Amino acid sequence: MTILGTAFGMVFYLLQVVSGESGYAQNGDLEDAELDDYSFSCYSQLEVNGSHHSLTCAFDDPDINSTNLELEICGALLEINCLNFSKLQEVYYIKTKKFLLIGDSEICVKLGEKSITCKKMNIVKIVKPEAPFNVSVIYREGANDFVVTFNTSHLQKKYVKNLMHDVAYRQEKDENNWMHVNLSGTKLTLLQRKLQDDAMYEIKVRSIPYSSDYFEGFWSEWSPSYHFRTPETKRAEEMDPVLLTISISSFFSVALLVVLACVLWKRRIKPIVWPSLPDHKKTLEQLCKKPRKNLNVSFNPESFLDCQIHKVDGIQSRDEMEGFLQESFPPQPEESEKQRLGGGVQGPNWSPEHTVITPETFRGESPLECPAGNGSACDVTILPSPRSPESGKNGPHVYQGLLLSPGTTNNILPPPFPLQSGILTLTPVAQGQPILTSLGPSPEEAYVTMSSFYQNQ
Amino acid sequence: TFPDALLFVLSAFFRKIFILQLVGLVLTYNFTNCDFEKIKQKYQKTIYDDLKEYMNGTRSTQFNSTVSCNNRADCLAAIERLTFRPPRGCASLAGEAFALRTDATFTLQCPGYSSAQIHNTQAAKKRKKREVTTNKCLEQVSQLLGLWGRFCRTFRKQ
Repeated sequence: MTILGTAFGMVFYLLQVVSGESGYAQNGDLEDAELDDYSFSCYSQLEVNGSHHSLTCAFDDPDINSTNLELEICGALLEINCLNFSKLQEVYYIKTKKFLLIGDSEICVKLGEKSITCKKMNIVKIVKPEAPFNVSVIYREGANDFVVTFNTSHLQKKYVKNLMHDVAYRQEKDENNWMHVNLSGTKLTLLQRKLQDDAMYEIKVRSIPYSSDYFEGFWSEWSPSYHFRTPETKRAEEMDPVLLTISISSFFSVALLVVLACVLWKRRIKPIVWPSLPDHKKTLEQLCKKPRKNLNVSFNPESFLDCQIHKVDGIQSRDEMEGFLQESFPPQPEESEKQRLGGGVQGPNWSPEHTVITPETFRGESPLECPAGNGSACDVTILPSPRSPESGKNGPHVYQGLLLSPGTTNNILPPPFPLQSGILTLTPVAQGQPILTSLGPSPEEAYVTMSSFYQNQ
Repeated sequence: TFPDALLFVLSAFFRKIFILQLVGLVLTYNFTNCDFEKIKQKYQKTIYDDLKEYMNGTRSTQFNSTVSCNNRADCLAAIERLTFRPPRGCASLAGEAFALRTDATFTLQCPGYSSAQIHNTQAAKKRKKREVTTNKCLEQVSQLLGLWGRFCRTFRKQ
């Protein structure tokens, strides 16, 4: 009986112990509920306070009763074997400089002296960076973009220096439509054309250790959000009014210039740009304009038999000329025949004084004007030429290489008509000098000479 | 006679030295099989900053470089020797952070190394006061910086 009772007691005891250790749950599942209840997670923050690091752990199950539970870390420590966590509400933490940062550590949940559960962790693989701060957005009107800048404390740290940043932004009215941009620096440029005009935006940043680096871990907390509004932009069709005015006026100016050029091309522009060569016939016509009334122009020397012809070799002032004309033109046709306009043919009574003939007088009022009715007598065919002293009176007279017939020697020819409004002066000329001289060039001499040459022939 | 006695003493002395050298050769770890890439990474991320912090602003060019190495294994052996067996004038650097990290690095990345230096590490942990940083120790740490740099450059070429 005793043996039987003992046996049954042992059976019941064993059943109780087995059911207790197996973690028989109320729902009937045969799960190891004790281990799951004490699962925990940790993260480390290196150089969070100067050179001190921190390690923070918490149970995954928030409902767990952690009153008597403690955490301990052993291994991968400098100069010591193990460290105990401090507890703040439901979170366990350590602040120390003694992390070796090489190799794995073991973190155990202890109930009294007994370790309930342990986990191997590498401190450098569970790094959680500090959250970025000072996020700001600046609009650049010239570049039509937004420059986003932020700061992070890891720029001055020794160990965790290389981070990947995640910049998230959204339009405030779009609740969950976050746009994300990854970058390794602390500056980002957002193009204006990729954002809505005149809208409010929210932007924030977080960081994580660079994946290819020695240190790995988790995302940091988000930085405080920054809000900004995008400006209104002008429509593409609207142009700057000043620019529009300038464009239109330039167009019309160019059109006007083209029309004027087409209209005035022949009459005004072409003669300046491409002047025509003077026609000798037209030039001659211009030279030989229709004379005034009672002024016969002729190349027949017989027309000027009654005219007094004086040699002209210079140009003087008008007043002087008028006075001179009154003094020095005696009405002696016989004497005037002896007087020659050219040098070398000069009578013994030739007055050395100058005789001035103006173009006007020369044309209409001069003593060379032939009396009415004697137009034929006033026809002039040729000019007298200088005669050498050796040649006789009856010798041939040569004028500029032309041979004069004796019959024409008595004909007195006026000097060629200079086209320019100058004044011809009559001066005695030494023998051998050319007959006619003038102050200015007289290109029409050639024409007159040629015409007189043909006449004589 | 005195010369005979002197000869006897000196020969015993040199014999001991010779034996110690042999023992040292036998007991020196062969770093040929270490994971040099991971050693280099751990040096660049942790040990280098400790060495610079120990120098505390002292320029490494202040000291002449008297120790050199030819290959990676040779460099690690020289580093190990200077870190855990310092010459006279600098009692020990084994308790410093860089020494402990060097020891941990060799233990992790060099198969069979761990047992060789643990005792030194334990001894360093028991020390309550830190060694005074002498000029000799600064010179030694300067040599270590040179050796580690040589190791990284040698590693880069190979």
